[in-house]
Amino acid sequence: MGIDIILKIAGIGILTAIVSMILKKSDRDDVATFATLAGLIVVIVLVIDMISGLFDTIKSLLSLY
Amino acid sequence: MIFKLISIALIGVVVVLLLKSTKPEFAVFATIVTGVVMVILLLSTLQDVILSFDKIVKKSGVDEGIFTAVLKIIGIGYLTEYSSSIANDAGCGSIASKLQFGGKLTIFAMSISIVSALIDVVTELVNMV
Repeated sequence: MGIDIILKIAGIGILTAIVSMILKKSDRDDVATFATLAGLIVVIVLVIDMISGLFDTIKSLLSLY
Repeated sequence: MIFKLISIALIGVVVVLLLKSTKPEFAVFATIVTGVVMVILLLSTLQDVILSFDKIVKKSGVDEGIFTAVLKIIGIGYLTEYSSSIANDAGCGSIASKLQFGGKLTIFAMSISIVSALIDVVTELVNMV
């Protein structure tokens, strides 16, 4: 928990960018959009999981609910 | 402790700028994750502060409900500010202002209970005279 997650997201972002660029060059645009979507979904799952953890801790800490 | 925070923030900024040029939609996620990591780092100190406040409130004999309401308001204020600043970063200021408006409303709704408790205490004092 720390910097590694930030760097992981950066890695996934750059990877999807490269993959979609390659796919676009070899004129397979539809596959490129799927690749970008896949990278996006992976990052979304990661971020949602972290945000729910954060909100749970804040809820329990500040007795919000 | 503060150096760790600064280093995480700087790395986050670099990652966000990097992602903004290649894939803008990932930049938003990078800001969210940097925010989450920094807050998780600060949660332990926040816990100590709240515990010490709790002791003070218990000693001062103030009604416990008021303190939890104040904590709730602090929590709501922080969460709305957190998400509205992320929305601002992502570029949509209108969503951020809606969020802040909603936060103000919920805080106002909560503070009504505190104000009424305060008024009860004051009327008690007045009747005693």
